[in-house]
Amino acid sequence: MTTHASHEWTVAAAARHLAQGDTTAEALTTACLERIAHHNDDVNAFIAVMGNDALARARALDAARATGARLGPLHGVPLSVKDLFDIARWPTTAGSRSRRDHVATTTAPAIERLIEAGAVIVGKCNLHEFAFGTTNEDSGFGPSRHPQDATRSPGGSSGGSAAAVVRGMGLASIGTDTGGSIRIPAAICGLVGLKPTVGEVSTDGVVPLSTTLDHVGPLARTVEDAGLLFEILAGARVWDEWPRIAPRVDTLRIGRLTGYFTALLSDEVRARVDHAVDTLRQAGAHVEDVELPHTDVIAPMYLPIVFGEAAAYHGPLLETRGEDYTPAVRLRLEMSRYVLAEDYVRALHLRRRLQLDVDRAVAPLDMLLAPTVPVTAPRLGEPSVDIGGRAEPVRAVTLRLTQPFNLSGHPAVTLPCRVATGGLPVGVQLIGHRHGTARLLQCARVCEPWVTGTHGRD
Amino acid sequence: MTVPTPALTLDAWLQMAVHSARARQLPELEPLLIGLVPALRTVRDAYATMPASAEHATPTLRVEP
Repeated sequence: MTTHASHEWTVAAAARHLAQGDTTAEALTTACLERIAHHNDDVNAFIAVMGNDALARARALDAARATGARLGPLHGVPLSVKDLFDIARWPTTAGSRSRRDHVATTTAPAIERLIEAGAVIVGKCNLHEFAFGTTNEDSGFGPSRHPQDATRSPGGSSGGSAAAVVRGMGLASIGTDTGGSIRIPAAICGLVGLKPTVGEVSTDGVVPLSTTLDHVGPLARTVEDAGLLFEILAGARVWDEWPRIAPRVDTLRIGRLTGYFTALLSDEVRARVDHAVDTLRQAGAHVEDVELPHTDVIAPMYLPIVFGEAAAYHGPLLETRGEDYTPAVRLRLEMSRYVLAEDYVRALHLRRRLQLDVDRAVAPLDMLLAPTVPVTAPRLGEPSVDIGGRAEPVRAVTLRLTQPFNLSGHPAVTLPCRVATGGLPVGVQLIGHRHGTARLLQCARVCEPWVTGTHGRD
Repeated sequence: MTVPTPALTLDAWLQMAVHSARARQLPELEPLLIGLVPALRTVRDAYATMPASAEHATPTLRVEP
């Protein structure tokens, strides 16, 4: 039996304790709400705390369980969601004052699935305004801060979600990822973050940034939890026959992406990811170097797609509520309106080529491997980070290694690397076959103890 | 005699966009628009040199089952 406090439990552990009668939904939810009350001022993770609704829901779930009813695998588990998802009767601010009058009339299908499975939603998390950034600095509700160091960014755009999970203000969170917005904060805060294959989880009821690049997925403490949540979000089967179907680590074939993916890394990230690769090799995994072609076009092709699609949504709102956007996000959205349709379509053709390039790279392997973010948590307010003595723009650097798989649509999961005590987290990203998200998670779960340095521990 | 139509090059696009931004009282857009030009040039060059292939001909956004 775990000795962790309940706010440190994984989703799987909480579900087990609830099923065994060791705790109640009300006790778990109360613990999370108390954590929010004590810690939210430090990290500014929440835009809305749904305290009364959450407690009423938890009590109702406990009453149902007392009669023998069980809604589903999340019965009584407290979670948070990024404030980009509609939840009926609650505002969906998208981190923007321009939507302060908005109240959702329905609940996003992805969140509805979690509720149907018994989840208790404790609140809606802060984000980079309209998910259009990777630091959470530009939020109409103030920046979220890193859970280990308040002078640093938690990453973004789902930065509030990451800070909330690390601080035990909900046992996992649901975010969105258009260029890395789940994986970047998960890596920077030391969590597991999953971007499924494009289209596997509904984006209905989610304020769009880029309709063809947006993905929905979980931020969680473990691969098991990410898989449990993905099962519910996507109606998929990941752990049904676990551990019978678990691959052995010494049978895994992993392609370590080189070239573009290792050209621009801080010394700390390079060392931690190299160590993770060495450890997987020592465990018997086959790791070979793989280089993708056409990587020079990745960042350039991303821009006309995300800009063109963002402009389509934001144009009317910019005309009427432009003054209510944060200045930096407003300017970039205004710039987006000048992208020509012909450049957007050219980028879509290049994107298809990248998709085929990644298909070919991963085809003979179980998965690809790359660092998730080239640097550790950047300091708030600094537009650039130093890598090898050169100042690199934070936005471009943080998106660099994650956006390829939004463009290609392949599933990708970030795992925290083992880091020295007191060090800032570093993430390693595993990329699977398109429509192979379940298999990716199964392989990732086998790698997890080796990557995180917990192998051999209970 | 027909006057040739000026090409809509990236330079022409930039002039048009900057003129519009100034007219819309958003002069601070100019450096952002200038910064976008290299990316658009890369996209145009890569597209122009991409081999003709049925694989790339349809940039489908369809989600495959």
